[in-house]
Amino acid sequence: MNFIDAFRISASGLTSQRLRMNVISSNLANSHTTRTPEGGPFKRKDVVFSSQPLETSFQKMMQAQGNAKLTGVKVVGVIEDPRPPIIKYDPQHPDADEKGYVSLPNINLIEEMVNMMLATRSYEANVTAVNATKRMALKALEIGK
Amino acid sequence: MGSEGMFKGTISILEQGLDLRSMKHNLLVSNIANKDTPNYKSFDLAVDEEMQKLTGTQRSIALRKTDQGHLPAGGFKDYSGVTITKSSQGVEANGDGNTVDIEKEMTDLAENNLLYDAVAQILRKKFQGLKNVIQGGS
Repeated sequence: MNFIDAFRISASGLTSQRLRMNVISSNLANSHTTRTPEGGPFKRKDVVFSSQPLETSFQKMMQAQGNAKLTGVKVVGVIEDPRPPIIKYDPQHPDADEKGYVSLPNINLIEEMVNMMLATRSYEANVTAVNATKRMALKALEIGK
Repeated sequence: MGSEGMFKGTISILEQGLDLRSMKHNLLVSNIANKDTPNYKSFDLAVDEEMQKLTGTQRSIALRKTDQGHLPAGGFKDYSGVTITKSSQGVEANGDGNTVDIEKEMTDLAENNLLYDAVAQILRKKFQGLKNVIQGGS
């Protein structure tokens, strides 16, 4: 049935947005972290979205039906922001260098909050889509009643 | 009137309506899921125009029977001629090549949903009418 595709696409959207939210939360939580396993201050992370065609053998069969354009979304990678760390003068800090400067993560709180709101809205849009699909499928089942 | 004729007129058109609406729904859902994907181009399907094009000209695909013992199957409608448009330029708010206009997609989703419901409702009434006739109005 056609609606299964719609559910799978929305689910891929929900998963991707939730992952994005996790990455943003991690950035926020680590906005003052100066020590990481790799050494140096925490580096801001970002997700990379990519559209992915729905891959099923059934899908291939039905491509003649015009469904070839349907794509879900997938997070294909988590990248590190190349922006340099923020240098702050704080000689009391245990991680300060000999001149008294500390490297703090390159995280802008406002930027993260805006991204968080975007992710929330995108997630909500996908939830609305799931509900719409469900309503349509139920309506189709009512035809025979 | 044969039994095929009974389902040929309105019911067949309504069926096409439902099929096209669900195709459009899938495209809209795909656009919404890819709202934040760089370089994604949004797709659309003009259901009204496609209905005009399909009505009367559409053939249905039936499975060919190569053996007497094969069960009859078929009645799948052929939608390979349906044109799906891709908006290569549109609102590009953040300059990442994505052309999904989320307000448009969400309102289209709601509209498509309502029209699907309407068609499903008409189809349901149509079947109820047939049932009523078959039962002699009792």
